[in-house]
Amino acid sequence: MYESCLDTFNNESANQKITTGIKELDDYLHGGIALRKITEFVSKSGNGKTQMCLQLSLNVQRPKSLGGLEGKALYIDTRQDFNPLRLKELATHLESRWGKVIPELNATKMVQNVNYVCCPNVPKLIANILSLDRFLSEQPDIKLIVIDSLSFSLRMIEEIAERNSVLFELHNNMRRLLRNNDVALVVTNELTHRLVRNRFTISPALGDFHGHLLNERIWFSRAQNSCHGILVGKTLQSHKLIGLFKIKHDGINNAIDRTHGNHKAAKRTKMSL
Amino acid sequence: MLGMGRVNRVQKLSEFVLQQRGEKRPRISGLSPRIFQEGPAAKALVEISGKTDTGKSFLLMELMARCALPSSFDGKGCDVILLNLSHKLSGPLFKRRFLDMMKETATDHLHSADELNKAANECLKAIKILNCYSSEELELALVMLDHLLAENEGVALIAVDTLCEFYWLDVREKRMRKHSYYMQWLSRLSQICNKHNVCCMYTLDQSFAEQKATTGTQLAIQIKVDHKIQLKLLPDNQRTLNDQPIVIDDDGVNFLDVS
Amino acid sequence: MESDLVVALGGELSEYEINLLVRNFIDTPNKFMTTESSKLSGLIKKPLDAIGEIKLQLIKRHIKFQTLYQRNEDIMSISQYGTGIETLDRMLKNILLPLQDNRVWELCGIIGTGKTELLYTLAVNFVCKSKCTQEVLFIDTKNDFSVRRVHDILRERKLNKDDRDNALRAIKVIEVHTELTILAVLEELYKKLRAERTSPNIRLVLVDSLPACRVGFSSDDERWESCCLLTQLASLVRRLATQYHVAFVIGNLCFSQQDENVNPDTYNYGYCDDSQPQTLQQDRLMLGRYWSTVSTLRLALEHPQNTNCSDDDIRLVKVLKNCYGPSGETCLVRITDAGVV
Repeated sequence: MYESCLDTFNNESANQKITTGIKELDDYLHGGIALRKITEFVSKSGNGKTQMCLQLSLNVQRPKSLGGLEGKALYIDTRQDFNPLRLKELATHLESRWGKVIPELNATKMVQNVNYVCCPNVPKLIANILSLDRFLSEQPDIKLIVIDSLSFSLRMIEEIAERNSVLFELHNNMRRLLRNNDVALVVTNELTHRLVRNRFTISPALGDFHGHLLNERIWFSRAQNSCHGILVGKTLQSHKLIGLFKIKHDGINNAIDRTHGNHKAAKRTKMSL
Repeated sequence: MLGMGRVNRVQKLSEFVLQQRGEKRPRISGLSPRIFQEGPAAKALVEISGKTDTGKSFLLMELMARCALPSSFDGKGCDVILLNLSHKLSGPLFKRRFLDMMKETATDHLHSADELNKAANECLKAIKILNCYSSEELELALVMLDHLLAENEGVALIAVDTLCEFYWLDVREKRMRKHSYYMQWLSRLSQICNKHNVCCMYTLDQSFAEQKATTGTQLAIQIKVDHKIQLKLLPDNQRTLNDQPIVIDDDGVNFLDVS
Repeated sequence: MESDLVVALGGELSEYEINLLVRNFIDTPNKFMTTESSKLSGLIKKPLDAIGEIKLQLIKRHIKFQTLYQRNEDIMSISQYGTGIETLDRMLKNILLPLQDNRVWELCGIIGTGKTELLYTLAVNFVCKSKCTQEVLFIDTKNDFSVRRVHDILRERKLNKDDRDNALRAIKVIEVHTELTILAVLEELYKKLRAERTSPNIRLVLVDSLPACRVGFSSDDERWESCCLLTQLASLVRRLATQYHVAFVIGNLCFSQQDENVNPDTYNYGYCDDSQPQTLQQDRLMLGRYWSTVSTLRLALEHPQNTNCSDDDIRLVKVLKNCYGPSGETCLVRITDAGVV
């Protein structure tokens, strides 16, 4: 009935991850985004969440011979912010790297491997999530589900009790999905101001209980020289900076200049997410 | 251990004989005049109600300790049976209270630490615990209580911590109002108290004690409670007992007299 | 139900007599006990005193009673483990509550304060102290358990590979998702302990965290059912703690009073929900009023309010509730690579 830690530890090295393309983040996550877990990316708009989601949708397709999952992705878009041209651009760059190993994996094929669903309102989002079980049984290659963004959709619901009710219903379904299928779930969230202990603080939307149910929360911030900081931790008070990245035409890359100065700049950015 | 012959006698005791036995029990009247005035009398039901963390179990423990302490230390010197449903009261805590209470009385300087320790252990032996983890076990415990009381004249107090603890387990299949549930169990306790001439004190969450106005039929069972103690914890961390300010600390439960 | 009666009375009554009782709707030990002895005597044609003796034997088998003195002696003799965290152990010693068998503790805090880290540390300290002779059961409700982190904590303590492996072997993990599954796990443990099997030798159960398996209720019925399950869980936890000397540390979540996204009424179904006296600084607990009566000690993990403290890894442990003594005591701990110290 129980498994000892030793057995889990010995089996864990066999678990595969989806690389993020950022070394420090991959190191922190022990290889990348884990399957059967919920990972959240949170930041103000324009700091790279959607870019990361697009990148992950392609990284999941990394050939097994290169240590990847060779899987497919499902992109659930609530903000209608999905840019297929940008996806194609990213795929073209990856094609040049992976094409040597699997020639038939060209950019067009990679784009086709990203299933796209538009959910402009809450009922559609709920309906899609409820039908995911069946969808995944028909498409067992899907290894990544992205919901961009979870909070955008839910915050359309004015009444808080109803919003919570929907959010937790979604959580129940998502958790069940992850138990029954070998997929990773990535959601994006926005920052908002909340009154906490009589002080306004910046914190992720959707509340603490939602944060509690996540397995991993990753923050993106803005730093100097067009870099973005990567911070990890559940709350602003407990998070820490682990690295920087840049968004270039070929995708998300480690920020090259990682001198002491750059770190300081990013640390200052921690205060101004 | 009860032998067959004694069991035979227990079964055949008439109400009159039981009553005779009941008369011989020690009394706990005058236990805490500030709370009970002259009581609690035998057969009395004492309800200690309040919301969570208001000190109900602690107060029950204080009263039990006062009953079990010998008269030479200002106690009532009687045996107590505790129906333990919430498993919060502990031996070390009681022992500490016994020793503190003994030290408060005038005669404590006459006894050495060893003697006080021995006396405290004797007090601990005077308190019997019946552990219950479900309503079925509580039912069995009440039957056991009947036997224990018939055999032990020294018991003057039944303590229950906490009555209605298993409400949610019992109403799973069949819903029932909290007050009705409370009254059902109270009537069982009341029968035992009346039969054996003992007093019963119990802690209770506030929500069970409140009787909401019902439209339609009256509640079937209504048992009169002789003493109601209501504990409150106010926003400024002040505590009250029946609206009188009290303090709960290492020295026990004490009234705060505003001078 | 019938089989319960057979098990309970099989030694005293014949099969024919038991069948007679069942046909008259007396099919559980409880019903047997609560039916008038004279009626039972009439039904199965046994003398009154024999019925009385059977009842007495049944009670004695099912209801164990002891004096407080015996209970005290038992408590004095049970093992005290300590948490292994120096400042915390010192504080607990001051309030006369070291970690030992039969404790039911609650660990709460708002998210991101390090509750999981503290639970990992407790697990590691426990198995190391008992030299891996006693085991820990870690109940993970969020699929969040990081074996790698536990392994890293052990490695930071400079244990050799064999010791690390033994420690990992002694920490058992199980994933649960609903209250029903937690109940099933604990009932399984209860059955094994009752049958006095030598393994598993689980003496400490850590739950991370209980609110995560009560996610959202779509109807009144679900809420009702959840309250019932929580009570059942509480009874089982108490039974394991007091009868079988298993210590529990259960993680709970606090949320800021002003968090609009959580409606505490959802979790306080049916219990007095007028506001407890709270200052604005206080956080409210999940799981409702009933659960707050179950644990005998509640510890909260917080970020220190003192703004002079710029060290991000320091946490304040505060005693929020103590059934056996004073509350409000605090101590500071630090989260390091080797766990919480």
